[in-house]
Amino acid sequence: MSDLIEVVARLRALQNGQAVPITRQRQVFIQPHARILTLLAMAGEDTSVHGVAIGQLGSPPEIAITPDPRQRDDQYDLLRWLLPYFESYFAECLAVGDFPQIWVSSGGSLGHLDTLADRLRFTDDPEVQRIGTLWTYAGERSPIAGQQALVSATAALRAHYATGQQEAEDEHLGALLTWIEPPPGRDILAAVAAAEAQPMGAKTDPQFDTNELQPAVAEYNQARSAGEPQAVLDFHRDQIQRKLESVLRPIYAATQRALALLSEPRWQSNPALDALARQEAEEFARFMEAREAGHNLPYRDGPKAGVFKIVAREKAVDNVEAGSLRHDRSARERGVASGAVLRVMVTENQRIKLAPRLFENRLVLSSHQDRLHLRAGEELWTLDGSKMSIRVSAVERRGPFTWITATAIKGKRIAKNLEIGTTLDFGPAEANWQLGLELGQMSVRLAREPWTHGDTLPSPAPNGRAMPADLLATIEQLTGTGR
Amino acid sequence: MRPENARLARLRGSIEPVDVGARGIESVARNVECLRLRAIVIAGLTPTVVVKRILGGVPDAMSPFAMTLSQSFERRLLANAGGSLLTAYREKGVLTQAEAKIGSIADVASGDSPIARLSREQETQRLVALKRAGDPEARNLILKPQLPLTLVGVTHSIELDYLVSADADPFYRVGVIKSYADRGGKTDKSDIRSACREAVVGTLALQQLLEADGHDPELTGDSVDLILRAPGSFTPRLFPAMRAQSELASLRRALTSAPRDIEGIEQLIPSGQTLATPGVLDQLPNRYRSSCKEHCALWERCRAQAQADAHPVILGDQAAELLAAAGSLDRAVDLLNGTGRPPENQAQARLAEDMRQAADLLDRIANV
Repeated sequence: MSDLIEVVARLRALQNGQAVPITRQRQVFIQPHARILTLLAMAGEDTSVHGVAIGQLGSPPEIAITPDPRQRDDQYDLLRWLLPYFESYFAECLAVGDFPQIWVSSGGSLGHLDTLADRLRFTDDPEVQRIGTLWTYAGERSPIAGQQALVSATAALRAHYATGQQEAEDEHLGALLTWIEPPPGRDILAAVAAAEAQPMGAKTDPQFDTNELQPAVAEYNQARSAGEPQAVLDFHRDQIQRKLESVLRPIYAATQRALALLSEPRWQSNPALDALARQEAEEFARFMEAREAGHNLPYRDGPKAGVFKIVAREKAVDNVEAGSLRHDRSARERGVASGAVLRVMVTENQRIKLAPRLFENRLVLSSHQDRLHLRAGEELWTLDGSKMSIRVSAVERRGPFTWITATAIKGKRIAKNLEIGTTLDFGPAEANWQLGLELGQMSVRLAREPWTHGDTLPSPAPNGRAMPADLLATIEQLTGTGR
Repeated sequence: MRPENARLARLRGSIEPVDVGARGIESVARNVECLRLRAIVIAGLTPTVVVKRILGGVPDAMSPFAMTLSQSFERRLLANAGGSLLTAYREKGVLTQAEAKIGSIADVASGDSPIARLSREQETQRLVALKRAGDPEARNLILKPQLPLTLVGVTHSIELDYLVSADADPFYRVGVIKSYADRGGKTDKSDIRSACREAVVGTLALQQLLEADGHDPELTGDSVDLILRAPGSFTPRLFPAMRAQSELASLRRALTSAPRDIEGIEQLIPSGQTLATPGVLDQLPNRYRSSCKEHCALWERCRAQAQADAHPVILGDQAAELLAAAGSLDRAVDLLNGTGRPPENQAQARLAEDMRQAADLLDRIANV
């Protein structure tokens, strides 16, 4: 059902010739001080910045370019020009316990920034290293569920709208915006095809490179090699700047438009985002503190750091889901459809005396959901209002209904007062971002490097037991599937 | 001219065949069901040539900046008799200091003429035969080998980046050089897969060579070597013996069904017409998918056709799958809105019901 909702939304968008909203609540935390960053790389040179446009919501961009980013000194000059924007922005956020937020146009631009961060922090220039380090915060956060530090405009818009095209095609910000705000009186597919002609990622169009940019860069390099006067070099530089601006400005404007669209009051507040913003501020403070303490950021994590990060990522996925199911109505309804949320009616509520002053509330709940992910022994929590948890003891499907027998674990007083006929939504426990216990356990387990990450294989452990004569029969006997 | 060549020449009409290359053949495996793409490649053309020569359009091209970088990286690796490449293998411990026998096929005959190509093929086959015979003079690295690959009875000449084998190895592995930056776990997986598929085109060519000489084709194994670029530099990063079992299987599957297609293609093309005849290309059944843009210059034309046909794939591969019972988007809209003809079968009735439930849910959550 969850997949079909997406398809039906796209079908409606195509039918209407306009993107359709798929939620009412805002899906991304928007920092009023967020920076919009448009970086252009030279094709093939993934770690280059040919031109940059930077600014805040509603502000025109400040633009700078380098004539040929393959010239290292020129490239570094451009990066040094950028550094104060981020140094001061990060410092301001840190001072007030807030976190910085960078908006880029698309997933491709996000990947470019991450690539740059990984590369620049290993250069030999301290200022360039520094900007690489600052960008690493955004880059390291980008793959983590619920992060709010580095936002791709296309991903943010896609969380709010469905278009009448393929998901991969939504990665073009111009096309996506055309679906959201189609030009009146024009065929939507023709308008989208026209929008696609304008680059919206981190690279210029190959035809544009062939016909315009490459000749201009070649002329600049020739003039420089020939030792032409500064005025001539400036002329060629201006030519390159003009060409790059023709690409940078539309991308910057489109990213601005995306931010403006998502800032509109039509999107209702989403309390799940507040928790994510608090978490982001904590992560940012920790990151900056570690840099101040002089801890290096390695290119590749060691096994221990890698494991910690994987666990943190997995936990982030669970926490984001838990928060969304509680506070995001569209996520909740989708959860009901997919079976991640158990929506039930209380049909029986028995208070059983186990011992003097020891009672247990046994509940019988019914659900008419087609799909449920439920098994005996599972602990589920109420998603609204007061906290109550239940442990499922039996699940039985009868006709169109699923009957669930459960015992109240937490919130027994609430359980005691539950009336027959009450409807409740159950789901995972509330988000818990603390990693204390897990980190402690992992520290013990990873005290020695696991053999999977070392160069030597462990010697095979001897097995004293004889191999069964009929292996299949033994397995069937163990699993109870014997012939 | 062999009969198959004559058939393909008839299919191409006035268009001269081009060097399809490993990349062209690899692209067929990316979209096995697309008869249009296969017909083009089998006929000895590429989508780019078709766009340029038949449709009169401007095909997608590589940026000159990217092309310069890619060529410089490859040149640097293979220059000085492959010195940098050899160093990469030594540093990784794949080749020892003593294993430094290198053969450069490009030195035998340069140029694009059929004679030069044939000379390179013969020299490659001679060097490969040394290895097969267990000759101690067998090269550890063969740079820019040229091998024939037979497809639908027609031989395509494929130039590979290099072949590699330590003295103790039973046979050569194919190596491919890509100028993508190696970003560890962040390297695009689809780039890696496509590079591996490109390399296994060479593995298939080697297998055909072995088979033709009565040897076991499985001697090639199913591993390939990949060289990427360290970010921001020209330092090579070697990934030796990468398993490419699934890539090899998918390519084999794509190519082994080709003989049936050539007859099918001939039947699809009206008598007296060729691929170069305007409109004929559109009559060849295609299979537009969301990934076509990554490798096929015809993607825009195929997308426009899918849009005109209201094919569900224009909403994505998932929509194509879920709306298969409807057949077209127009019919899917009818089923959703309860307009038009009633459901024609059980599958359509079920789809209509499911879509209506999904639409109700969408209304609830988005207040559309």
